[in-house]
Amino acid sequence: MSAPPEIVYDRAGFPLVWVEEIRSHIHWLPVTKIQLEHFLCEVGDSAFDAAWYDRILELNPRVSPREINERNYWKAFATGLRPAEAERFARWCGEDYALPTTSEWFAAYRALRDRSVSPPDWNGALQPRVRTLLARVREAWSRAGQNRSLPDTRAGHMLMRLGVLEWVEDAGNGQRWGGVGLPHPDFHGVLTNPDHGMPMRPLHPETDRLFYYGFRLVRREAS
Amino acid sequence: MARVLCPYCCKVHDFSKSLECPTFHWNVPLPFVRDYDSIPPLWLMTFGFKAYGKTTYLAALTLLLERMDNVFLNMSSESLDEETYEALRVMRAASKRVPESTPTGPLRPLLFQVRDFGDLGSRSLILHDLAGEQVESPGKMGESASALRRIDTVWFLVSLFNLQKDEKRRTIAELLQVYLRQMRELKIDVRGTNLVVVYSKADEPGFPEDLREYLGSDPLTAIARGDRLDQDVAFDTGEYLREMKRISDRLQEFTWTGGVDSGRSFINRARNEGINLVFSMVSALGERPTGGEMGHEKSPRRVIDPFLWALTLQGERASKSLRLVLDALPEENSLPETYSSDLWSRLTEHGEVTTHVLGQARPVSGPGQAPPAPRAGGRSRPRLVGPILQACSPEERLLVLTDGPILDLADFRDSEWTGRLLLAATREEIPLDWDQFETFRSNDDIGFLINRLLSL
Repeated sequence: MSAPPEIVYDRAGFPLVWVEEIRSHIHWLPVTKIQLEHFLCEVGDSAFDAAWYDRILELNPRVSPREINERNYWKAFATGLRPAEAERFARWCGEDYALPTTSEWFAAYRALRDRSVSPPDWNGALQPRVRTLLARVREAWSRAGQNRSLPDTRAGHMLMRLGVLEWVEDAGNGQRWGGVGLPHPDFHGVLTNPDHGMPMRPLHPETDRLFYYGFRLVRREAS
Repeated sequence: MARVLCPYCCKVHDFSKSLECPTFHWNVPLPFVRDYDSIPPLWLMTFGFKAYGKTTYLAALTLLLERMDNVFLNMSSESLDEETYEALRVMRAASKRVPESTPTGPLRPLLFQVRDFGDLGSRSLILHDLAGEQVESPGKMGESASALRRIDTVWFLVSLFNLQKDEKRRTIAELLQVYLRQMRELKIDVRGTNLVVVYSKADEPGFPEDLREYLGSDPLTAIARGDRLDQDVAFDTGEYLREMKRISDRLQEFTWTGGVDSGRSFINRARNEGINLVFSMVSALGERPTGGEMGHEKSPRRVIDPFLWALTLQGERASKSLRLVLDALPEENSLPETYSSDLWSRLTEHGEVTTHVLGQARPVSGPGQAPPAPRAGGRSRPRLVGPILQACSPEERLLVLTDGPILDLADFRDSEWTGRLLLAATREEIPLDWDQFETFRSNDDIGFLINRLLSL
């Protein structure tokens, strides 16, 4: 059987990287507003209309890729979506895409937190504004990470730390959805540490619209 | 099947369902559609006053093309429809008489296919032969305007003999003025057009001896005349084209230095209009007929030259690919409902138009299809343009009409799109930071927006 490619791209042209420890590809960054906008422009679902997106932008305004810096980079990400809406986005990406489970997310995190390698160069496969966004987020995270003496590892490059809280499927714990990751404190102050391997438990994940919650997807290898 | 432009109305239609042009209700020949990719169209137009020899020239040229298999052994040519066949038959009917002038009426082009023309390949010719009366009377070409916007090359027939002898004295500069006025009235952009000045009836006195020598030494005259040939004619295309270019320069010099009345003014004006000018000289008959009757068999001279110019110049003027992007919130739109269809209709005069609404990646109508009327109460989509831009090819131009801020427009500031996207806001208070930007109200002239877009 041939080895899976190290990098694949989703329908909006954003990269996912292969993580052997979970036998899946995982989005390089939390899903961005640009990816969400591709989704909005392609689905015929009236639930995702202009008013819906206005509400999302009220919670966490949009920033253009060229204007991303260490004080605003979290605005690039699609936050404020409920888990069911994130699942709808995953279905649009493809049948093998899904929100990660808690164990998948932490397994990926543990595999990446000490991996000191440079980010991929993407081989020129990115659209110009995607390339700009990835480069500006990388620069912004580096500055933010240096200020907090975070190690310069792949988990940081992928914003598993100093990013947003991310929805994960947390089956078997009374409710289906949990939160992982570590948001930038200027975005949302919350006491959590991904090194502890313990997800946050939001009270009303199905109904609340939490501005600091985003998500990334895994693309599971076909069995 | 590739996207096929109708040879009659120049719009894209789905010819897999019917070969009938929905605008003019003429049937498009199947070979034209079937071979569209391998035998691309060449859009031509003759332009000249009555009795300048357009029809005579076309009769001589098409006859020569049919006989060019004496030069290019694999070459073939044929009329693509009955109407062309009949028109050519009428043109050639009397070998010793000058053909009647072009009939007036709806402008139906001649469709003629030339295959394997040496190194110059194969082409489907779409030839609009404008009647002299249509040229002289403004407005008579209106009904065929859409067909004329695709023209790559104009054969601009000028008879120096007629300019000097006609009762109504004119100059070549005035002839150009008439052409430009007509094009303006038809809203046809002449910039980049190839204008081949064809000095017709060049057997008449008035040309310098070296040019007359060129005319008289045409290696293809025997073929054009239909002589029986014992052996194939040796013809070096490359060398012929080089000599043709030299003669073009020589004719331009002749025109510029006083050989042609108002010649300098003509050349200057054409250059100022952005027209690509070349010169040629032909004699379709080989002598001046007396009282409409010929004294000898026709002996055409250099009638292939304008055709070769058209083949070699073609492709330098690419057709425009345009996208119209409309606002998706019709209930809030401050423009009349008919505005999108009016705008679309006017844009189709300048190229193929695909229509979108903001916030929807999939087009609402493809080339050749009018956009659907806005639906009150339809789904309101967020004003987003990025996924539309991502689907566009590098040569496309976009006109985006919006009634509010576009959420992701700033992502493309300072990108290649700043020179290719014209943004038109329907209200002054809309905050839009974009280089190519206009405020546009319902009583403003659509033509202004279109000219701005075409200038990008």
